[in-house]
Amino acid sequence: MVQAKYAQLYQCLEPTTIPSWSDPSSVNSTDDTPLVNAEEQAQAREFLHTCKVLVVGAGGLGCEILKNLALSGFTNIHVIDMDTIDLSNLNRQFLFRTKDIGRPKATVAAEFLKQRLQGIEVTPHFNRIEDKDDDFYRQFDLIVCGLDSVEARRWINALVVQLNESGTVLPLIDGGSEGLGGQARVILPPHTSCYECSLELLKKQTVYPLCTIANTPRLPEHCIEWASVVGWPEHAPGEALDTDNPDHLHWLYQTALDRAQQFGIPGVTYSLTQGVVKNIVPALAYTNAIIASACVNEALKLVTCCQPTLDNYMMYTGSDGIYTYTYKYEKRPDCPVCGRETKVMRIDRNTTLEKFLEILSDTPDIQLQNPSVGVGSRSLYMQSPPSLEEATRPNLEKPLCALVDDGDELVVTAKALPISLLIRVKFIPDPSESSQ
Amino acid sequence: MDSAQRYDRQLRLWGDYGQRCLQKSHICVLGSSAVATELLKNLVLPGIGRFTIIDNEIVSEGDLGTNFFVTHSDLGKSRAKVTTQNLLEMNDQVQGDGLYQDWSTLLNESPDFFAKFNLVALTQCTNSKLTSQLAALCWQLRIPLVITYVAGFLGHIRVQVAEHTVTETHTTNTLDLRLDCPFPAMKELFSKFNLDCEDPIEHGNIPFVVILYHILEQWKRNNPQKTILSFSDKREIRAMVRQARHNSQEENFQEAEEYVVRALNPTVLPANVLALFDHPTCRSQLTEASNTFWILIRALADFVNKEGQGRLPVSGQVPDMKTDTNSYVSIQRVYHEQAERDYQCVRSRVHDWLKQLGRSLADISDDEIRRLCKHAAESRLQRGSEWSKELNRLPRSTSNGELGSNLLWYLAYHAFYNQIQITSNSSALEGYIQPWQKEGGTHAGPTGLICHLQTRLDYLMKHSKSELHNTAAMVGGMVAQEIVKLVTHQYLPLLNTCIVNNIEATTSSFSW
Repeated sequence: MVQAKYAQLYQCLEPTTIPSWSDPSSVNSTDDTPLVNAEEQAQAREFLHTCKVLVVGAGGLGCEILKNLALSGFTNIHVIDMDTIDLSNLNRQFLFRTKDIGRPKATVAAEFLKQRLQGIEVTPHFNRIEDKDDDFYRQFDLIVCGLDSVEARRWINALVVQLNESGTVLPLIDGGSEGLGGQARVILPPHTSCYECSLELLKKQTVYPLCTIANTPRLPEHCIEWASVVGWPEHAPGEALDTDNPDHLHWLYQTALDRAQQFGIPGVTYSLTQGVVKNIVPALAYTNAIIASACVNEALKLVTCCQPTLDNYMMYTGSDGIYTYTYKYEKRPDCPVCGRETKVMRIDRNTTLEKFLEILSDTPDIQLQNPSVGVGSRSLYMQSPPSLEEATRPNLEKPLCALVDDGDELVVTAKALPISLLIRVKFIPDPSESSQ
Repeated sequence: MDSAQRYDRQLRLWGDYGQRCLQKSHICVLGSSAVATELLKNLVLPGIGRFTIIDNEIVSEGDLGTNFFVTHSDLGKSRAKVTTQNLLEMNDQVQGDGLYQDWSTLLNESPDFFAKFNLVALTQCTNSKLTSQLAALCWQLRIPLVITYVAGFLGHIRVQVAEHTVTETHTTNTLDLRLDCPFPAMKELFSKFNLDCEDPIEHGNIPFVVILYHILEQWKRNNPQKTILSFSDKREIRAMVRQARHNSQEENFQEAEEYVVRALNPTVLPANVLALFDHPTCRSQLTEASNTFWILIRALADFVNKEGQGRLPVSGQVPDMKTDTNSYVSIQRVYHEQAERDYQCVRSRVHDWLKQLGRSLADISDDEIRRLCKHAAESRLQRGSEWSKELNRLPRSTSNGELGSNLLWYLAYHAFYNQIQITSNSSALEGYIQPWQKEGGTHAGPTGLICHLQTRLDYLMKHSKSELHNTAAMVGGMVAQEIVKLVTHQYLPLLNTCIVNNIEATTSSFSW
């Protein structure tokens, strides 16, 4: 019976060599020896059914990834997600129904899959990824990621790089989607580039300058930002704005609308208010289907060795026909996470430590919020614990040259990453000094 | 509200209008294996109106390993009926029918049956005669048809549509500022700004459109003969913008410099719109039964010829620009009011046509006319080609313009549909290889090409009955995407073939 169920899958896994067009010599080669022999093939199938795979995220991509893995012969699947189900998920997250609203995504996804498909084990983890330790992640043979947050991706990526460097072989397949486009990539340190290597690909988030919001609003977005940044703290001092609370959202909408009317600005709607304050990204069932299958395609090839695995990046866009671009995203030698070279930052010696921390968060290939910095074992500024923060706070005002020497290696840590980054500071020669 | 919340993430892309088109659509899917149910999943979730599955297969063991919409307890039942139930369970706003029937009987005995659908999708059909017969019928009925086949790690998608009209492309970033042909209210407002003012705050708040307007007027006075700006003219204008600024920190002048090239493009009728105006339906064939799109286009053409003085209605869209609130709002208002005047003219022309054709004025809503005016420059017609002609002809163009692995997969699919058995001495082979020999000859030689084709065709034959779920999921996603584009008339659909190659993690598109 198992045989009949998997007959089509097994046939697809038989290694077939398609002569490569880019390598003409492969055509005339008379060597018909398959990539793997019969015994290895059987082992590969066995491994497919026994290996342990972790799916990170049970949202739009996650639901698709889980289904595709289960129907590709993976039977030991874990899924981790900290979210609960919302009505606006139901236009694409097909493992959830109206009755499930408010329940954990990971739990409901696991229940649905086990009820629909026979012979699979799906273990849910209703957790933040940071809540799990290295041993949890080390138990898996493969991680497939379908996240919508850059921070969570950076965290998982850094963890995977670290585990691979310490001897565990743990490939990461990462998918991302937005509107009618997305990308899938294979991260296998130290052989491929990692997520951090391509950080500069990220679109810069629209930031509205405070002076525009406060003094010269022109767009409906400016009025909405004003309502949330200036209006809310005055309206409810001490109460944090909860963008999932309909009352809060309604207040924001009404306030933004009033302000817009006062200035004669058209276009404030409830939907736009929600979009701006929650930073909503449009999402479609079929884009997720395409990106998730691109990910699982590589998972299947990687685990069974039946065909070569993507090396290492595929981007997709569907707004004008169907377009993909497959290429090798090169490693950055000075990638702060997987690179062998320490990243060098050239900086004015009189820059204050506080300004330096700001630069760290604005540099496209670093983008670390609220970092702590040290040199060797000496702390320059620590975000926590509070006592250490207080002790190191006076350093913020000091110029870098009073704290470190030219060429020193700084150790930068932040909540967003499970590892520390090394950055070498090189002081830009000060022209006033050199002329003396 | 519930619906708005449920569909929020997609309404942000195609709007209420797109959603209404989707909800009004009834599509027919022939076959109910993995690729069929995956494509339907991606249409049921966003809320297609209705679907009909036709298939005479029953649920087998093999389906349990590939199809998400069957369960163990469904073994032996009609696959069309079972999958319909499991698909509908995802969204109660969708209607669906599963017919346990051989669609070829319908095709032969009551072809009119297909006339009621907005689109037909044919999946996993190996019978080339039936495929051609269905394609001919759909072509004749002017119903879009999508043909798809998944074999192992490979997939093929073919869209057959005679004429497809697009109202919003979402891809072109058009700017409609009319700086070369300012309307009176615009002139009046813009002339109130003084480029020579001394006050730094006032000077730093002159909107870039106003800066460009004044500089352009000045340049025209110096160059009265020129009607079309060349690249070097634009360079001159940019230099004049630079001269007019107080200092390099003025963001409004920076914006003006950045916009010189785009904002000073002449306001002309785009070729895609001209092609619509030249279409026989627009020129002389409007009837009582005409599609609302063509009535709108005809009204638009009338507007352009009369009130528009050769130009489309003003879109009314103004980009953000560095300035104070009042200036921005007044500029926005002046464009908006002109757009509104143009809209009123187009509206009365639409109503003239509806009356002349003996139709109700309610047939075309004001919202639709507004949408047309706002996106007029994006309207276009795309022409497809007939499936039966493809079988005797090779693609005219490819996505990368050269012979490559995926073109060979395309040729192999071609042979596969034609049920051609290629052997190294077959004459059928010649026809496939000949057009590419010149290019490929230097690469692999004719025998090399044959070998390439042979291994690929062998692969398709061998896997003709193995529908790898993951490939079906990808192809199902792509097909659903194209179906939504076709029924909503938004975005640009695939013209007209895509090869999905999951061995190499690539895709290629071909058209002819």
